[in-house]
Amino acid sequence: MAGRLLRFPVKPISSDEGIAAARRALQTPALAREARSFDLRLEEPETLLGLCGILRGELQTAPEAVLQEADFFYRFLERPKRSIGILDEREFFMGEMALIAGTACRVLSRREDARRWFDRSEAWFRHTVNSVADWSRLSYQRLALRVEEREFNEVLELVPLLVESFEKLEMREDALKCRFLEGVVLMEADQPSRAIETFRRIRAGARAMGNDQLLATALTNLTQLHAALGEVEEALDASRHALLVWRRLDNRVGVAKVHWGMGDLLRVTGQPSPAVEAYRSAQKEFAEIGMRGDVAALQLVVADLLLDFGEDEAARREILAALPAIDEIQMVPEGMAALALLRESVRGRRIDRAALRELHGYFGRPGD
Amino acid sequence: MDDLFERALPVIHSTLESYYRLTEREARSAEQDLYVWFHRYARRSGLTDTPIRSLRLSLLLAACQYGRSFQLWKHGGTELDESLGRALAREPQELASELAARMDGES
Repeated sequence: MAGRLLRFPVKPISSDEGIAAARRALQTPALAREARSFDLRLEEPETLLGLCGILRGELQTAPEAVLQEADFFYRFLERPKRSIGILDEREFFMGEMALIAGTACRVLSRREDARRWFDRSEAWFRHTVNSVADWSRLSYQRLALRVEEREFNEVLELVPLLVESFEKLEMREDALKCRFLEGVVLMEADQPSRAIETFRRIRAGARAMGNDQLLATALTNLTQLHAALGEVEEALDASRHALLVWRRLDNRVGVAKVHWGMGDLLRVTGQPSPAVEAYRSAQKEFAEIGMRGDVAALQLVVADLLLDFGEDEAARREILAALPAIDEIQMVPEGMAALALLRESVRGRRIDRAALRELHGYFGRPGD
Repeated sequence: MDDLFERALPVIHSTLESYYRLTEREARSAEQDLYVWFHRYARRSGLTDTPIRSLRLSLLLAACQYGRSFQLWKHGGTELDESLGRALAREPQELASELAARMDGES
């Protein structure tokens, strides 16, 4: 007998209930979700809003899991075509899930995948009420990807335009986040004084806004910059504050990055063994989170340090351990050239340090 | 949020009724939907720290899109009178900006 599926009105849920429903959905195995979608309230905009908030909050601590979940919910909303919420809500949630998935891919150094997700996000955000704001947030992610691909001139040209766009929209937090990209580019382009100035301004802005995440990120970058310059007091001061805030936020990536900065500081102040310990500690955190790009970058940093002390064989082992992960990351042509040089030199047992240093520059990353 | 919505409501109501020619009942139902939508909209990523007043244009735009889509759906394929046809042909963004400017002028 052919049947007809009747849909009865369902009582809407509050935002608190939406967050609780989102947590319940995430605790339910993915395979069981579709069949239980009605009970789990998966088509409720409040649940989806809660899911987006939770997933965004975990981008830096569990990017692999976030990617899997965002992928699941994107597919869930996509097919069969479900009627979600009012006006542009389905389009917004599709675009947002794609943006979250793309950001997770970027954090995981899966750049091709990140680009594909960002394209999907763009297509959905085309239909949202505030597409300018949504596209601006997407543009930030695309610019962050370009920082990682070391397209510094393009980033420095585009950042002021994006800041202006966010300021017009009165999205002050996002405007401040763009300044980070500028600071990271200055850091990578070996302009530490200008970078320090930029991050100090961000620190002040984040304090004024009461935004701990931005504050801790600025402090972490200041730690790394002061450490690289051998400015011990400033680096220690920034690192202490950064660790306090990251621990309060339970952000493992932040803690790992501060350890990385401390490793740099110990290295420039002539303490190689504690420096290696600090790098290892950061590496362990990154490995547990699945951030292979950062693990590999630290292996190259440690290799460089080992070479300082003539431990060529140990350095070679570090590089060999890093190569598989580096192979999986889609590198820009300049990075590929450095990688080829390094690979060749490792094979010949005379490590090319210029190639080694150039290569680990390709792993610097902005925040989320 | 509620305050902003309340202040925009007369403009929204008259736009839905007079410009998009929704019935009184249809307009009231649209306003209820817009109220729910707006409360969720303000909690979207990137907008939570935005001053509430800057969300007004989005609310007006949503109201215009709602009115336009509703009438397009209701009259799908049928002949429209000239003035409604003109209203539906206009970009909602343009009308929303005009409404926001009018509200600024009145305050």
